Amino acid sequence: MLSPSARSSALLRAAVLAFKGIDKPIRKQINDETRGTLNPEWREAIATRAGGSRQDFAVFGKGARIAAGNPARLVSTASRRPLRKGTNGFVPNTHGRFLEFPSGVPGKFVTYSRKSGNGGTHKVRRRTMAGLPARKPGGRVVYPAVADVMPRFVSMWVQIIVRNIHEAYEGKQ
Amino acid sequence: MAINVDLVADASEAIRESGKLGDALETVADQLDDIGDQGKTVDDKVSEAFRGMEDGAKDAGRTVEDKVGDAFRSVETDAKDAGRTVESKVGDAFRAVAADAKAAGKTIGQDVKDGTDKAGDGMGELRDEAAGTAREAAASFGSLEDGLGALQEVAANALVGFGPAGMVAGLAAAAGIGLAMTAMQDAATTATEAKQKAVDMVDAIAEAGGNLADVDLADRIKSWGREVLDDNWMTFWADESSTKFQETAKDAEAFGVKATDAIRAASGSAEDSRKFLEETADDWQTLNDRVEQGTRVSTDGAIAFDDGAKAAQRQRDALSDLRGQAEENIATTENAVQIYELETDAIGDTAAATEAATEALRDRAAALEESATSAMDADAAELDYMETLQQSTKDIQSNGRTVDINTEAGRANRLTLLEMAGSARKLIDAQIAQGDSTATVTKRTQAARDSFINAATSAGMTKDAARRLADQYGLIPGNVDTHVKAHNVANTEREINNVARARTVPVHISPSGAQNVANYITGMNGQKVYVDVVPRGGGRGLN
Repeated sequence: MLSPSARSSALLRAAVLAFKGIDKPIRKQINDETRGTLNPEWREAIATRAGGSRQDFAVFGKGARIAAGNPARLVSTASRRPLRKGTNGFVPNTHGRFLEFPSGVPGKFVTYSRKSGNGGTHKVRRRTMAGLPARKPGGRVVYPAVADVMPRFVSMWVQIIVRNIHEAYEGKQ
Repeated sequence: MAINVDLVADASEAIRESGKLGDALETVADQLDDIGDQGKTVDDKVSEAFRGMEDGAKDAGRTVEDKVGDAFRSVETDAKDAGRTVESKVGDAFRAVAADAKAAGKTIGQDVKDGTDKAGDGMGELRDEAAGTAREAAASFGSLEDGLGALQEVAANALVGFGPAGMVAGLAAAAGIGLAMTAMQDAATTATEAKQKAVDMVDAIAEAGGNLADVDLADRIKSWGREVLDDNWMTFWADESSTKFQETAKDAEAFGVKATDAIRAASGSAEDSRKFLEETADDWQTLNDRVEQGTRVSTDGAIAFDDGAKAAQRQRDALSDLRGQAEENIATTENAVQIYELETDAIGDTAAATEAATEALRDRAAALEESATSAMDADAAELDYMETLQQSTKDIQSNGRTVDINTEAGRANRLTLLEMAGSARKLIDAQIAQGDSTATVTKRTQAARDSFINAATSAGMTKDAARRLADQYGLIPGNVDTHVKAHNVANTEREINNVARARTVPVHISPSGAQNVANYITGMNGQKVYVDVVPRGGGRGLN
């Protein structure tokens, strides 16, 4: 489980409900602060988990952001631009999760059919998964990054909501 | 599908299940109170710490007990009150939202539109206030990460399973646990007042440039001696307050040394104190012996002193005070030196770290300024573009459907289109400078291109012609990088090639001018001229 559930925590429910009920300017303020505070942290977390890999950063890091809202959302792998131009390029948005949760076994032989130059078909045996990351059900970049930051982010988000509401109403009364 | 993770799971379910917003919030406020009670575990720990110190004080001295105990108790109450105030304020804030929601009769799912109705001066004020808390929040984020390691650990561990402890941790973070921490620190300071002297001494050493020998003793002796002793537990018999100078002088007189020596021993350098202790060591022994000799214990257990012993005892008491002060002074100085050394070691590291952090901040500020400038440029360009777009549409409408450059309206329309394209290019360039993703720029270019083509067709161009014109004007989406980078390179390359290129000059010669041409060519004698000659004129050769 990546995120704490609002159903299991009174405080989270409070934050979510209060956020829902609060007036628009304060809601906007909360959203702005959430974006401003969490965006750099989230991007850094992704970049850290991507390590030095340019591919990982291109796939997961590009367009990584915080979608503020109720609840705020950690967005990654959002780029729709193919890594390489052409019709068959790897599109992070579409194919990113295959890189996050690779299921292949590098070095495994795969047999498949292909067309011969003279029009017939024949079978070939190739290591089609060479160079791909090995199977990792827990996720490679995004999910570990989420696990890194989640407790702090939830705490921060609740804090931003509570503080803003508290300040707003204290000023009002 | 992008990989998205909600910060809080089941948020919409929780909202849906909660039914009426007002009621739900009220329930939550009650629950928060309960959590506040659970939160006492944190409070309790603080209290325990206080109580521990209090017990220590009790053991140390019976008379001190009350006063110090009181001090602790008041700090403890303060801390508790502070914590309670914040907690209750947060609870109140939630209740206030609940009251608002109830008054408006809102239910979940119903848009809270009247929030905007309230928008006015009041709301602006609220926003400003909230903006202030953003900085605070950011600061507490930093401290949550760096300083309150223990709290973060609790939060991290608890939030994984997110049991009740998680709520407490969250609430504690939200309610500003920092207050309790500060209170604890205050208490610690009170409890270690003796250390404070050493700390003052550290300051003095630091002022003297780190050399104990250079410490301004006169200043130190003055501030020590002028300390007014209240009518406290030590001098409950005194009718009026006194200074340490006076007390020490009294003791010195009773023992029989010069007051200045005694004062220097009590507050001067450690050397002075040691000297005093050495010089009085024999006297101390003699007085002790004399008191012992002159003391008789009668058979019924009563203690009797002879006259000499009585005098010796008075002297001994005075000397005991003086020697005690001298010993304390040595301890303080040694403590201070130790603290000073530790401190300078630590500060050495910190200074380097601070410098690095400042440097990083400066870099960041510069980067921010740069990006802000680009962002402002981009915004300005966008505004310009939108204005041009609006104006262009109006112009074309008033000019009518014509792009014929022979008519005034046609020329006006062509100019309008040129302006549109120019403005769009500026916007795109500004966006590239701002560092927008290629996807954004492409999208923007595509939109600009569409608007341009629409405007051109509404001005009377065919779609194909409009598209060609858009291409010519550089409104080609999806190719931004290569266009910007390779365009100029290609141009420059072409220009360079053009200079060095062999040129072909077509020369048309009519039979009648043949002689002139022959003369002309002869006139170029000595120069290298390649001439392609295509004979014309009924098949007759020219040579």
